[in-house]
Amino acid sequence: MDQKYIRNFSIIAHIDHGKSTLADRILELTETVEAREMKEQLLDTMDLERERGITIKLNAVQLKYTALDGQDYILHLIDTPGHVDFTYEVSRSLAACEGAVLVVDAAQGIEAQTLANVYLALDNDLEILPVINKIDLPSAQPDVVKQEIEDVIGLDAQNAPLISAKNGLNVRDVLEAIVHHVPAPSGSSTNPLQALVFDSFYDAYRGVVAFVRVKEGSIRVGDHIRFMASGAEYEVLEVGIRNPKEIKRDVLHCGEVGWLCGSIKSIQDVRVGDTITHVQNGAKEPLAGYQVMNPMVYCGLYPIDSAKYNDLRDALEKLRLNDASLQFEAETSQALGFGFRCGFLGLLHMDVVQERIEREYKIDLILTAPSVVYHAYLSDGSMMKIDNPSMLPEVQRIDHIEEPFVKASIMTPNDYVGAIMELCQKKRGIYKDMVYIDNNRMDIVYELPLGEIVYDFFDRLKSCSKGYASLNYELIGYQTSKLAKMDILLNGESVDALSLIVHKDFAAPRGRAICEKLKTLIPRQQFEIPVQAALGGKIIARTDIKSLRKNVLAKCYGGDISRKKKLLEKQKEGKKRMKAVGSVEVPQEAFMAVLSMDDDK
Amino acid sequence: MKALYVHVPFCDHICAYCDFMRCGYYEPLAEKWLLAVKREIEEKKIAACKTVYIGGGTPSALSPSLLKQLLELLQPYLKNCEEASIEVNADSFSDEKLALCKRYGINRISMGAQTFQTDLLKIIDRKADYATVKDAIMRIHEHGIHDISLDLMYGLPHQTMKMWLDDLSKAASLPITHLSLYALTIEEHSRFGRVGIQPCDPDKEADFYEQAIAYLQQQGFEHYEISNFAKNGCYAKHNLMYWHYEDFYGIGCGASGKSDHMRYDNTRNLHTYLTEGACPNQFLLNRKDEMFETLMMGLRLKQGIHKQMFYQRFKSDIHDIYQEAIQKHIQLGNLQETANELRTTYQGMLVLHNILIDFL
Repeated sequence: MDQKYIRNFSIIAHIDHGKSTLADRILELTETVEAREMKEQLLDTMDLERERGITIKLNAVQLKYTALDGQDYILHLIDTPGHVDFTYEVSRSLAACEGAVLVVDAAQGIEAQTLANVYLALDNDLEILPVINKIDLPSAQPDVVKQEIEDVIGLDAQNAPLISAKNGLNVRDVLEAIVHHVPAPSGSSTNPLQALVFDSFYDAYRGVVAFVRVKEGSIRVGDHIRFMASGAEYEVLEVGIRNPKEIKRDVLHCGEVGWLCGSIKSIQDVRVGDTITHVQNGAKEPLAGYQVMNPMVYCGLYPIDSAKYNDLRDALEKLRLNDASLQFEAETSQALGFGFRCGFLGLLHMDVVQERIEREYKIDLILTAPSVVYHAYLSDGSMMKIDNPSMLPEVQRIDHIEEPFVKASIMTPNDYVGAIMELCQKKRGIYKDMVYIDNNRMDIVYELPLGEIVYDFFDRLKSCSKGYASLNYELIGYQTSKLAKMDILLNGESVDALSLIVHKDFAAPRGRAICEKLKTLIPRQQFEIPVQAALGGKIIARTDIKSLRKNVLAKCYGGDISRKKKLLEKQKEGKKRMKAVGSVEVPQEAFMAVLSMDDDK
Repeated sequence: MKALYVHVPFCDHICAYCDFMRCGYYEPLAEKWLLAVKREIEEKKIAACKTVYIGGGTPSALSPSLLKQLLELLQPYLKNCEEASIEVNADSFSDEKLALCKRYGINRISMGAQTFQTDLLKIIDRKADYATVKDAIMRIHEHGIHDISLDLMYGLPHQTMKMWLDDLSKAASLPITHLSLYALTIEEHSRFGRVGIQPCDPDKEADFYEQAIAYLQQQGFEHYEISNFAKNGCYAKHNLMYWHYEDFYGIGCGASGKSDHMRYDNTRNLHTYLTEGACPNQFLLNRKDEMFETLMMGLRLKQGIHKQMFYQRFKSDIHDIYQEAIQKHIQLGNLQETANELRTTYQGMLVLHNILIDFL
């Protein structure tokens, strides 16, 4: 098909504004998927995505659409995640598109991530098409939302399609807007090949499968290609598109979005953001890649069964293939043995990686509490980056410590402004600004320590605004704070994996909360276990886990053998998910106790 | 020689904590059941047994005529065994039934008392009070049976230490030779489980248990197994067969047995049992299963595991197989070794499950 009838677009939206539902309707309307194969959230292929109702990974499909004027078009839809943690995935998707459909909920209006996504789309020079969704809701206010889009974002929304993705109402208007307003891809089939790798995954049979957007030239089966950044060369064995099933093709033309594989077994050769060209007559310059996002939070990842250390490394390498923001390096903990210090974009990202490793690679993990990167300035003038609290040098050597701050923008209905400001103050926030979005909603701007956001800010924000407030944040730099390392001692011994860096003024309540939480998480053992929190060697909180006095089934006759054994096997199973730290058996969850929310008690 | 267990699935009424295979007594049903038991015994071609145990349910719920028929059926085994026990409730164990038992060779009575506290009896829905139990025990002696065991329970809802010590002292004052103490477990399929009764606080349960051990020792009872106490060496010989991990036949609906590296659970469905027979669910036991189960049962005994016996049975030294776990728990003070035995310490007995997990 002629390149001028190709359209590449993403759908962007705040979480829960109906992005995946709109994608479902578009697939139906273009008859890409037969009705009998249709299921909800079709593009969300991970079980995890369906269970949580969120999109984590981008996914690209090709659609055929016959416009109202009779012209046939080929559309490539690249689905994107909505959560702030996955902003990076969004920016990758957008780099492969010319247009973005901006979905805004007719009842809720613009939210924090709506704005964040719009800015990303603008950075990529995309044509943005606002669409107002959920107009079937009784509380829908399409006109108010249109005005909001114009006032806050500055986009003309007067002709924005008013749709209900749920009912399929006016979805065709969205497709018409796409074919008429999103520009066709530029580039020429006769130019040297430049294909942007925007995603990849590992397939046990075919090796690495790379998703590409062909920007210039074309790519055929049998071509010899080079990854320009890594320098690796391969022969193309398969190319194709997804609809969303994989369909093999002979060639991917200029402007198209598809996949390729070439028996690539070395994961390191394929980097997302790299440019593919031909070995012969290749392009001189790579395409502008994207900036690699720096992880915001770090935690230790350890296999419960230390024999699985190498499997864990393998799993992390494979996950990094389509998740370039995941960083890791080997580390050792006295308490947990060999593992990895891993960097994530946020807690949800961390959660998702953990669950994927446990599900897809069947490795039971212990995660240590997440930490941000602190800058410790030593008395000798040097600076150490601390992504693992246990590595903080002793107090005497430290001059001062800086922690990362973010500028947080919180959009909320007026009613919750008071509660949210109180929350921000409590989280050591510095008030910056407050503006009206419309008569009923405000945008509150605070500078907050990233460490506090990582802790339990999201949950608190949700509960103090009944779920109405939305948050977006960006890193703004480092500031000096009164910080110190808090050690947690089990049975008198400091457990490095439980150390954390806290603000001195908040140390005592935090220490108490953690000790109490550990008491509920660590099962009673045969001896009493003191649980203590210490700041600079001084104990600031303590509780005791009483000793286990009796653990035996006090009845047992002949027939009970099978039942009793089952009971023991169950206990044994539970024990497998524990790690022996010194003489204390500590369950997996205990290492996350630092995230305990109960420090008000 | 093996042991023989016969399960009588009938009760006069159902106690609140019970989830054993049991149902209310109904004579015509019990008659059919007896025919099925007869068939099962014939099919199994049971040889002479060292011990016989008629349990339930409540065997004394059977009418005198059916009890007689059952004893008649079991007569070849009752006659020649070392110990023949029957489980009874004090209120349904009439003189007539008692005389039948004596006549057919029953030489040990295991009586469920559970508690003597009137309020607690109501809660667990049992009738026989202290006077009834005492009366039954006297009558049993009068009929010439002197080996009598009593069951008591602790960790019952609303039970206090005072009540428990009162139960123990009442029991110890009776002319009995054996006591079994059971901690209440809330079984999902019992009435307690269905109405959501919460289990006893674990520390309180441990208090009940430890106080009982101390008190009964003072009263001349030997704590020879986790839940069992005997006077003058009157151990429960049938149960010793289980604890020594010997083979045993299980007869009747809901019974279990073990023979020749195989464990079987007869159907728990009475209708199936009456129409199709025992329909046992069978599990093959491999060497590892058997070694573990030998420990699981044997370590319940104060005497412990006889190391030479273990070697004879499995042709392996117990240390070669469980070296790490044995070392660990000796160091923790949970296990101790003598020249011939591996056994739990007092402390180890209380946390036997912690020990066993490391052997699994």
